[in-house]
Amino acid sequence: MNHLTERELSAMADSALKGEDLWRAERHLEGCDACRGALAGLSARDATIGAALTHDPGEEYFATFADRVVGRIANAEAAGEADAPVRGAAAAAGDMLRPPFRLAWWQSPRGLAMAGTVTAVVAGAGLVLMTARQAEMPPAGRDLSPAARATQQAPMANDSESRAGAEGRADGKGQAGGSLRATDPESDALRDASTQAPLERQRANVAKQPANATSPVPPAAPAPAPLESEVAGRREAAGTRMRQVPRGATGEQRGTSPAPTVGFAVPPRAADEQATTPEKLRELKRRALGPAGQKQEAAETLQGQSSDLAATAPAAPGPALSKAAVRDLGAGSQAETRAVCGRVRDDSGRPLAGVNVTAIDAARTTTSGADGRFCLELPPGAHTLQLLAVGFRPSRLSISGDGTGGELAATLMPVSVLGTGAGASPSSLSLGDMPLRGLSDSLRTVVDRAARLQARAISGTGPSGYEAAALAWERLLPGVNGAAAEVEIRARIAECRFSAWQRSRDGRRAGRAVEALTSYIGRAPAGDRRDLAARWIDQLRPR
Amino acid sequence: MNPAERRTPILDPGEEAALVRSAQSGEAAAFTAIVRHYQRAVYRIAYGLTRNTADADDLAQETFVRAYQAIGRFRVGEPLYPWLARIATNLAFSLFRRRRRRPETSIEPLVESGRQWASDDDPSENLARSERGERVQKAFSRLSEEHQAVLALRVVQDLSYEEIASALRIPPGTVMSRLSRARAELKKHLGVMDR
Repeated sequence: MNHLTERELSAMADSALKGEDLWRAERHLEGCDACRGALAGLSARDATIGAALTHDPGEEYFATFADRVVGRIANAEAAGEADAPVRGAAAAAGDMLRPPFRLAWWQSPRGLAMAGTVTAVVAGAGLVLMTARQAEMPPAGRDLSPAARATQQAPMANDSESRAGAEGRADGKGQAGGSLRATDPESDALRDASTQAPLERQRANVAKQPANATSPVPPAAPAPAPLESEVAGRREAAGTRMRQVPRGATGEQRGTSPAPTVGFAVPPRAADEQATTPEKLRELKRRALGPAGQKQEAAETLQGQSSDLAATAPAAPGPALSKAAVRDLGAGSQAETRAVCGRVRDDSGRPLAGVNVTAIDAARTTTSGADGRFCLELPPGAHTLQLLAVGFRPSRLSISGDGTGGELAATLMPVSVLGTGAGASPSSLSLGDMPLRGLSDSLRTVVDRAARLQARAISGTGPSGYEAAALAWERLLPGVNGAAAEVEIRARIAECRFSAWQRSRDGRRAGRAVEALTSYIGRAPAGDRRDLAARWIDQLRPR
Repeated sequence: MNPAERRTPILDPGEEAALVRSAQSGEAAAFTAIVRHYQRAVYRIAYGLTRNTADADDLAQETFVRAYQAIGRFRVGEPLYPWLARIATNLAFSLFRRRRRRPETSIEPLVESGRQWASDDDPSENLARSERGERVQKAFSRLSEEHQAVLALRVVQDLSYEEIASALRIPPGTVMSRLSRARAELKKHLGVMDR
């Protein structure tokens, strides 16, 4: 006798057999105890599974379920998650429950690893590219003859100062630029590190130049001798900070010495940054801004000084510092400061000492005195002052650019850092068991269980313990009579929801925590605990 | 529990279609009515698959959130409940996969490892978890996701093969095969545990 198969028995238990299959199975069962027993066992297991996998959370749970769903939808929409049309399409395709593509990659470790790899490759390529740009000779120049190369370098001599400064091609910058830099060995050391390679290459190229190559080098092209002298001068100025890069005949870097220019390119320096010592330049600027007769003198002085300082530099043609340049320099140096003074008080009008006052955009800072007064020397223009003091909320002040307005007045609002009673700020919303003592015995049982769950959740690592505890506390709400007990229970719920969010931060948990905290705040009396709840809500808000 | 009691009464097709249409046009009350009608059924699926009240609550709510977001593309006239069941099932699968990928979070309900941590997570304790029930749950949790889903939809929700096929997007014949294999596997696991 052929017994019924597992599939037939399974389908029989589900009343899914039809037609001839059903008839045949019924006929077989009539005469087969084994199959009847198997079918009965299967049905019994199904019943056990059904019971084991079924749970009724109670009417109260479902009474508010729809409201919670609606609240969650609102949270999702607020968080920008409810892009219904997009997800709707995905849903129609049957995979709506997968995270949207734009989020999927970071939810998977593989995606994260790939993103990391791509980032590393891009960063590496960028580094290599930057290194190559600085360390290698331009490909076009490498293949040219020395004469052609010299011809190609000619325009560089007439290049603007800023460009030449940025690229470190100091070979044709003229007297002023060269001389001003020469007095600033600190910055020269940096620049020389980047300019040395091209200079060395040029030297190598010149040395390689055949004797009969009477190349048509334009007058503006840098000659080997001046180059050597400039390099020597710069070495002298920069001391031992320069490093020599061994290079081959074609200018490529060789050897194992570290490349001196690995890193970011030296940014272009503005004309006024290329000044001599600050004191000297300031003096010159002052004179340039003085009476008309002094301007010329200042310009001449500067020009003359430039010539003096450029003694070691080649006499390559370069624009002398013109009067206009001096005038610009002077205009740019009108960075005369003005005193901005003010007074800081607290919300009750008492002067605050020790307040840190910072002009954010001007990077100036000071501290208020015992009378709350402060003064800052600031350049003209509008500024923003930031005021910071322990125990007070940070504040900002905007200062107009016209310099009017007299003494500034600032008021800092205190932050509640001390509790009203026992000293320290509360770390919990709960007031303890006292408000719950008046509950009936049956509710006390639930309270004890919820409290146990909450206590156990503290030692756990995931959010589910807190969520279970929150559910337990929520179940108490319908049976609670009395404002104090309800406030306490809502405090516990809010704590659990907030702690669950802290364990696993996502939008849903944040939404629930906000909901619970809001419910608590709506009922709690004013005080530190309500403030704490408000601060928690602040933490929950997306930044 | 009698399967007939477990089964969620399906809305009259015309009434359901009208609700869906209203929800699609943005009427919140219509969607709320849908939620109220199917909330127990969806929760049962969620609990059957997660066996944890916290996860079941989360899953059930999220099912309706996703349904709301996708209701605009739902074909009016199609049965709504299998669609909701599919959403809940897929969400549960996603949860399992996420926990498998990130084992550090799997200590929450530890469904996938077969351990039921939530005996105290159920605050109401309406369902007394007998020893046998826990054994069955353990055995059930050792089934594959596909088998868990098909068995939960059939045994807990008493869905027909066609409805399960619609919910899981598989042919009815596959439903029959999977159910048969799931039951056989469950029997084997229970037999091993009895030894």
